[in-house]
Amino acid sequence: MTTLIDRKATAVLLEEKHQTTPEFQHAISQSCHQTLIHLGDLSRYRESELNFKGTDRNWGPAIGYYDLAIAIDPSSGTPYNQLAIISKTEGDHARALYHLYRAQSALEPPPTAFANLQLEFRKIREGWERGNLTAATDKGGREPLLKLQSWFPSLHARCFDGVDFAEYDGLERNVLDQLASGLKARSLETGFLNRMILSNIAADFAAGDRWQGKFTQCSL
Amino acid sequence: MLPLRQASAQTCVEAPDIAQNERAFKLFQRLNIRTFSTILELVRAEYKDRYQDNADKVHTINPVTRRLLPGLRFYSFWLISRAALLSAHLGDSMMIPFLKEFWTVYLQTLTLIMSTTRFEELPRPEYLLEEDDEIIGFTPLQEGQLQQRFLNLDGTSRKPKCHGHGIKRHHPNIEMLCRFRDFVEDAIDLAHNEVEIFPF
Repeated sequence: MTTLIDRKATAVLLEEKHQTTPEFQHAISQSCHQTLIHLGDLSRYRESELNFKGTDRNWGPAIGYYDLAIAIDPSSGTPYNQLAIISKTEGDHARALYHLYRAQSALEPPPTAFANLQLEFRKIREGWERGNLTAATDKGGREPLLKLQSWFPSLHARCFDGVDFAEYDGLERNVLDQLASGLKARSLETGFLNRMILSNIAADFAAGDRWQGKFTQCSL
Repeated sequence: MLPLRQASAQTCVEAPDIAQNERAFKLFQRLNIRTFSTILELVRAEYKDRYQDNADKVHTINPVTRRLLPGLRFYSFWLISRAALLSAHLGDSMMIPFLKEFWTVYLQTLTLIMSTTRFEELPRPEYLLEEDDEIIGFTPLQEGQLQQRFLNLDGTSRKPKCHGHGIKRHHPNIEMLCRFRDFVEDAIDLAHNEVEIFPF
């Protein structure tokens, strides 16, 4: 009898020990989220420092950590911000733009989201004028993808400025023609279309917010 | 990237240029309309070539269409949230030609799909499709009535992810047909909302 009571008391105590309040669960989740971002940063720093000639950097671990952070807390824009840094390092402005838009469009965007977007557009304009906007590493040399990687971010930079640009119609037409061509030939990498669409949608909403005065343009 | 301290120390010295911001907004709206039109043209062409006279083959979705359907679904969500705003551009000469082109191909694609597919026989996945997972936390496609699409029937908890534990997925062809159905149902929602489209 005494043994039975002890067992029941132990079971109750164990159950109480494992119960957590929603607030505590949230704190654990946030702790994991922050830890994953820091692990991603450390992996990224390591790859950035190990810059051997002829050796491709391995961003896999860093990207994996950031993706896990997104899975734990999709409302945070910070992991997207960090993914954008990797894309910029690789010279992939189209992908960097996508991640920056995702950072800004999250429920909790990082404070630097809009400023980072402005900075990226400035880099894109400068790269376009120098004629070197394509990704630093040529991934297979597929023409529609390479052209889109430079034309698409440049088109967004032009739209963002909101200034009349004589070659705008031609640039827009070229982007759409390359997109159609790449889709029909199935030569665009997986995920490119979705990233392009989500970038367009994010830009539309962000521009609407700017028009309503939710973001103030800052001189950089 | 700007370190946090540096960004917060910036002083915004320029007043926002309202005309430029308005033009930027219209340009992005136009880009979305034209990209959506491009995708619709491709879907319509593929659908017409393969299924118009072979309705029994509609359950085998070809690779090109497979790649287009998730994006089509994103844009269909976008249209639900932006349709009323697009109507406001009907008097804008910069937008009129593209709006006309868009609504024309939208209605043609819709008509073609509805005439060849029996959607009432399709199941309703009780999990998020792969592209839904991609837009969790993406506020432009989570606002208002769109949010309900990601919730279970109880309206409070989110549907499980398709790769979640214990989830039994439908055949990929069935999931593709469900994407077509979502496109059709979004159009029905637009009709119920009495959205003003281009006057033909």
